[in-house]
Amino acid sequence: MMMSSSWNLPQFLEELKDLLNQVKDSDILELSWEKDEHGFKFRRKKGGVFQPQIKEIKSEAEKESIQPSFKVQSPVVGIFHFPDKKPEIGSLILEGKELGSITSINVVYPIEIEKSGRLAEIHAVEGEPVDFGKLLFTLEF
Amino acid sequence: MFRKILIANRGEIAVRVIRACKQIGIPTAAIFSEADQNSLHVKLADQAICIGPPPSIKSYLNVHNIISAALISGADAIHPGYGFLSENPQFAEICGSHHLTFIGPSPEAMSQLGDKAKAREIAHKAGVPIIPGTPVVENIEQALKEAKKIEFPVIIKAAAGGGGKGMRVCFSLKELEKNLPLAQGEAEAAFGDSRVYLEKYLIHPRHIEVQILGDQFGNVIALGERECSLQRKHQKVMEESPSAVINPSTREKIQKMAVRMAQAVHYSGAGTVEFLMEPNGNFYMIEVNARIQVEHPVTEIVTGIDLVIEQISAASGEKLIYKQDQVVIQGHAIECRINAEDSRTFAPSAGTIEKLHWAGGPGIRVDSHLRAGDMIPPFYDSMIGKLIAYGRNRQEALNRLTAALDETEIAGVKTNLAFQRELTRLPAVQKAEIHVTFIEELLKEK
Repeated sequence: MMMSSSWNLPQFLEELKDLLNQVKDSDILELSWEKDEHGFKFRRKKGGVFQPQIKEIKSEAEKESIQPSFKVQSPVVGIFHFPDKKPEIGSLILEGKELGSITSINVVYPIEIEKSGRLAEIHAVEGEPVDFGKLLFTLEF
Repeated sequence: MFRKILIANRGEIAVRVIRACKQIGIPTAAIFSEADQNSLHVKLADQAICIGPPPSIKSYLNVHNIISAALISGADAIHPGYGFLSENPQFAEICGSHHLTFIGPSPEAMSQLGDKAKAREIAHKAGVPIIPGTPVVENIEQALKEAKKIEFPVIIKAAAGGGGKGMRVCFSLKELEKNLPLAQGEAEAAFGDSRVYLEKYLIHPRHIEVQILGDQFGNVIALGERECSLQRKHQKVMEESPSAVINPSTREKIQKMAVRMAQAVHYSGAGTVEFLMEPNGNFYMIEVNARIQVEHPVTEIVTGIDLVIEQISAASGEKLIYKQDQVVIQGHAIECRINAEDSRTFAPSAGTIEKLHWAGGPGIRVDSHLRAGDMIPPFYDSMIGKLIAYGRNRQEALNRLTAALDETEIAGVKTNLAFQRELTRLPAVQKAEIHVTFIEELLKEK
């Protein structure tokens, strides 16, 4: 069976179903398929059911479109500090909220959030030096 | 000595400084823009800090981020390389106020040398000849009187400007009479200021520069001269040391002038005093470059002195370890700047270097930051590297250079290799019959 050359999730799932139907009565115990950064592996369980082990079915761009996120990066070189109350993962952060600050040659640069969202990841570490462009937080909408 | 040096630069000079630091056991911190994150200097340094987006103004000229990077890296000194902030006295002063040693001369020396009028005044006081000039000339009577004093030919220059605007060459009184009102009009149009002055016009001068090294105790030595007459649009194309036309007594004379100039401003570190030399052997100082220069390797090769290490050493407060009579010039070295630019149109060519093979063998040195697969970003200069050949004499150096240029292969971007190959083979270059407008005149003939 031929897989389509351009990546399209619904079409891929259709083709996958078709592929499984074709091989279900065969003696194949394991089937793997890879193309670019996408791929999967199936292994037949006792009782004849394929167990999918999907390596990666989404490109970064697709991941973004499924779960829109917003990355907060350092605008300067300096030392990162959290506010008195460190933000918690999962908390709702409203636009304009200060999530931390960067001290750069005695000047404090507040890290304010441009878009409201839920705090998904904290990459910054208290008191650590940060480069320009260093990833500090990831928020999801 | 320093605890750690931050290199406030990129490209081949950043790599050159890191190599010197490794040699003397000083850890390094590199800075880089987002366009340079995979650069060689980032890989070679002990630490690397991103300081901004690709445009220089936001990264390599971003004083705030550079100082902050130095502070968080724990560096106690900053090497500015050449270009960018290397001759900026304010930057040197800011470094000082943050207890960071600027590896270069003092901000005061830099300010004095950076101001052309001030530098001329210092030279004059130090007995260093400068190109004869006149005060502002108001009218034709005054211009004629002043021109007679400095002798024809003269060039009319705009008091407020530069870049060739309002400049006219006059070979006679008649030409001066005709050109003065025209030059005043051009100066008014270009700078909103019609004031002009006259300067002696030199025909086919050579560019001769003297390398100096100073310490903080007032000691200054000269490390011979370099001839950089092969230039295009004031950009040096090929440089050599020693000059083929400077004999030992002339060398001694210009070295003394260069040392006097440096001592007049209490110069410390590496610097270059640039002169124009007329065909009759007269010298005139044009400016002092208060930094390490691109062409420094030719001096290093013929003197055996590592200028970057000496620069670091002087900045750390050490005394010069060489006395003037210990500087011995041996053999001959010639450098070609290999740039990513079209050999015919000289248009810069950014892109990915797909293939890169540098020549090697006896007497060949290559200073480069690029590897096959590396990018030449469009944001900075187009230098790929410097190919330097050494020989026991000029001819041997030239022969090695010609062969090395032929052997070097670069693909993926356009280069000036073909132009350099042609240039080294020209009879005039072979015989060192060159001057500052040689290349421009050669290109006009084509």
